[in-house]
Amino acid sequence: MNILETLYVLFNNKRFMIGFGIILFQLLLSFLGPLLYPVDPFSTDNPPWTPPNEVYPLGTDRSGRDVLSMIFHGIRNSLYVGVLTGLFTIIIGIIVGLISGIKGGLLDEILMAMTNIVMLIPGVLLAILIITYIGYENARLELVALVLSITAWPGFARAVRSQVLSLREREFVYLSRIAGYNSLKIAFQDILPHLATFTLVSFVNYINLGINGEVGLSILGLTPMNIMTLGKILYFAAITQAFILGKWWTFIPAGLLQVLLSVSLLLIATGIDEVFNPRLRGM
Amino acid sequence: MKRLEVKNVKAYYRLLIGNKEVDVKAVDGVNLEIRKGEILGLVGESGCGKSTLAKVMSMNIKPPLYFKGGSVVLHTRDGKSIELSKLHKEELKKNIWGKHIAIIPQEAMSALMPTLKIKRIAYDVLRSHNPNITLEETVSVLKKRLEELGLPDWVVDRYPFELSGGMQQRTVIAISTLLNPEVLLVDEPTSALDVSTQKIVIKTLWRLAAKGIVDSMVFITHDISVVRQIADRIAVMYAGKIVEVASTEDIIFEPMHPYTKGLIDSIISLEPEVRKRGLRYIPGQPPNLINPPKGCRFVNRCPFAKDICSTKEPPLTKINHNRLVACWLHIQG
Amino acid sequence: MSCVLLETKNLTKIFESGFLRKVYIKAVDNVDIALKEAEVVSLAGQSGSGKTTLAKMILRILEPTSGEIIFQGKNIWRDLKGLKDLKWYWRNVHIIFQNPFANFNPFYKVDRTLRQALELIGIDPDSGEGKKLMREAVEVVGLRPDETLGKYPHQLSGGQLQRIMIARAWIVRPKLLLADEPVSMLDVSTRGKILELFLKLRDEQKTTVLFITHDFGLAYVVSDRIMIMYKGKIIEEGDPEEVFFNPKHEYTKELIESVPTLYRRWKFDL
Repeated sequence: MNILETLYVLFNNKRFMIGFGIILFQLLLSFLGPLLYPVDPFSTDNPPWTPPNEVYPLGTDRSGRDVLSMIFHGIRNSLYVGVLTGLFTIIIGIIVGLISGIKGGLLDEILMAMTNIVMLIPGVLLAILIITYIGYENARLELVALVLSITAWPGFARAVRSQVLSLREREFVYLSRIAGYNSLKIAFQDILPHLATFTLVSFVNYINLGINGEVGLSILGLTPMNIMTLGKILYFAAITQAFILGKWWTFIPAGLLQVLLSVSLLLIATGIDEVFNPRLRGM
Repeated sequence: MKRLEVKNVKAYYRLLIGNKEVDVKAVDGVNLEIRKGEILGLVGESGCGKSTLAKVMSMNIKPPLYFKGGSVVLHTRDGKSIELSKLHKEELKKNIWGKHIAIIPQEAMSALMPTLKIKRIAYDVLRSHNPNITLEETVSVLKKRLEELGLPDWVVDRYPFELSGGMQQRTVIAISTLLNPEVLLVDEPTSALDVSTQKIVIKTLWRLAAKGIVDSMVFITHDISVVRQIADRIAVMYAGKIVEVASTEDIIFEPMHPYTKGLIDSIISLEPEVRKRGLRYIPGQPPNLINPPKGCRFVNRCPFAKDICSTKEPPLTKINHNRLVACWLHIQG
Repeated sequence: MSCVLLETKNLTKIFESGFLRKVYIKAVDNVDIALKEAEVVSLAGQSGSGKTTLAKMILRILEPTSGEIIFQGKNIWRDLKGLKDLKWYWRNVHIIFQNPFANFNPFYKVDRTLRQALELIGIDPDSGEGKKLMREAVEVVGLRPDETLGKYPHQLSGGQLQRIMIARAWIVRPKLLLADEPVSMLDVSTRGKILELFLKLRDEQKTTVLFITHDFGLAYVVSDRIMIMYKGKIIEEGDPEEVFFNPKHEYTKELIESVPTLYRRWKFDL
């Protein structure tokens, strides 16, 4: 299958198409929104607790921040954190898993011991430690993504390693080896292509994890205060007791978009899996 | 005399290549009769259409395979003649398969339901033909049959995965012939087994015929050395056509068709005359069955090819009462 | 008497499995074999007898539990250091694996396996010479280059893939060729031509072929010498006539009786 055919098959998959559509819609919102509706999301010059009306389409929160504008900026930053988390996790996981699986021996033992240790550390605790150490005034979204990836990569690294271990015993890998290929060449030419689908699916899933993880950290107040994200909107709603006071417009739209984002990413992941995984094809 | 007649049958696979529909002529005008009480070996190499012919004989046809023309007639024990190619799938399922014709496809043993005990599997088979039968009756019928075939009776209480490959295959054979069908079609029953189990399975098949449990048998295989152990006659298939039918001894010791000759010469077996003879082979490759050649299909590999061979197709012709050959060397043009 | 090319001494491979209660399987058990220059030797046995494990150790891709493998005076698990030594070894000892479908990485065209062989013997696969050699090798195994080169593995049949693997061995022309069921996917009528290639390699290139097979008939017809393997041990060794028609071991006798013969018919009784 060449790339064009692959894309054709992918776009004929219903799940993938729905997921992709939702993501595209949110991306458009986050990029066109701030252009068409140029309002500062942190500006508190508006009246507080305004329900949605002609001036403030989604109302304002207790400090007078414009909810619509917060959402436009929030989606973009949340997606950014998600994609970064995905990237970091995949990169660390692939490197550790590949080296561990291909080299084996002592290096494998050390890397796997490390992986197991990291796996045991509670993620939130680590996040609190790192962020309080750096100070959340200095923290940026990249740091949030990094903190989330640090606890996410071990699972992926182990999965990569176990796949490499089984691929390593395949005849075509032996044949490359006895043709004098070194480990690096075998890793890139024979093993990595077989991991591509799994990696792509995992990447989408880790984006999801990043977006949700950011919400979690935000609600604990552990993310930078000067950057708007979907998590931050919910955080502001939480600390102003919007839930109890019934100011639904400050958290329902943001929460809904957040859930929609998660669902669309899951749909994309299963869609990719269906297209490339022969066992699921035709189901 | 005749048990099953296959007359001028054509069965093609319809495939989509690019955007074009093409027919792979897997069985292309085959005439063959299976006699009463015989074991017929149907041999040929991969892609010659032998498994397709087996499907046609039982009219077990599923897309992309379709029945293009001809007729298949079954003569039952009680003297009736049934044209199978005119029956609907439902009728075949209800009245023919299992009752008159049993089919054991390739890798049949892996099709045994892993979650059911052997007696349950047999029960389901028998119940589909006789709704009143009880599990106890099934067990006693099955035990009797296992004993006849030389299989231990503890098999009935086992799950398929508790049996070895050879035992599974023999159990499949026993269950699919519980209703004493007139014809048994077996496709490569021994190819996945090692030699010692292979011999036991062949013996089981021989017993099945020797005891009259099945009347006629068609044994489809690529391995002549295996089928020659029990076959009375052998039919040789090449590129969708039957090229020669004769008694087993005649096929092996006096083959007439150049393909049969080449094939027998190419066989490698554990026998001094084979080592002395050395390695032989037929040069070239079989033709493409999407566009088969006009004349004889073996013409491009045949060392004796004449002019007529590439222009006119040789019909399968009777040489004597026991032999049919489709070759211009042996028939008048 | 020609000289010994490769020998094994007390070669043993034990696989262990299980976590709390370890289970040990002796796949290869104290095997001593010696392969001479320019001979076809068959290593015959049923599946699970340890033939392939033995071949993998000789190929130096599976480390033995104990014992030595000596090739041209060098202990291959001790004396070969670095990729350069290994390349030298694999240029001299090559393999044709059993399952033709597993031999090819589905992401690449089948040419890749031949290009690897050319690189191994130091010929640029894109040079005129490399291209010529590749076409030649494919023709030698009875395939048409335009129908096979440039295709992906799933576009070819098992028989075609198996021939391409043999073409690879033909390019490398090793001193010792391990051939693990190399003709299992080929039709009876075309098998002879491919088998002839192995004999040709022996006669013209002085190649030693270790023919690994479960097919006693095949072993008998093509080999100069037979070794029969059973439960990790070599239980029978010698001249084909001697081994097959005067076997010492009960197991061999039993197996030989089960091998179907073309010119003789078995007798069964009810």
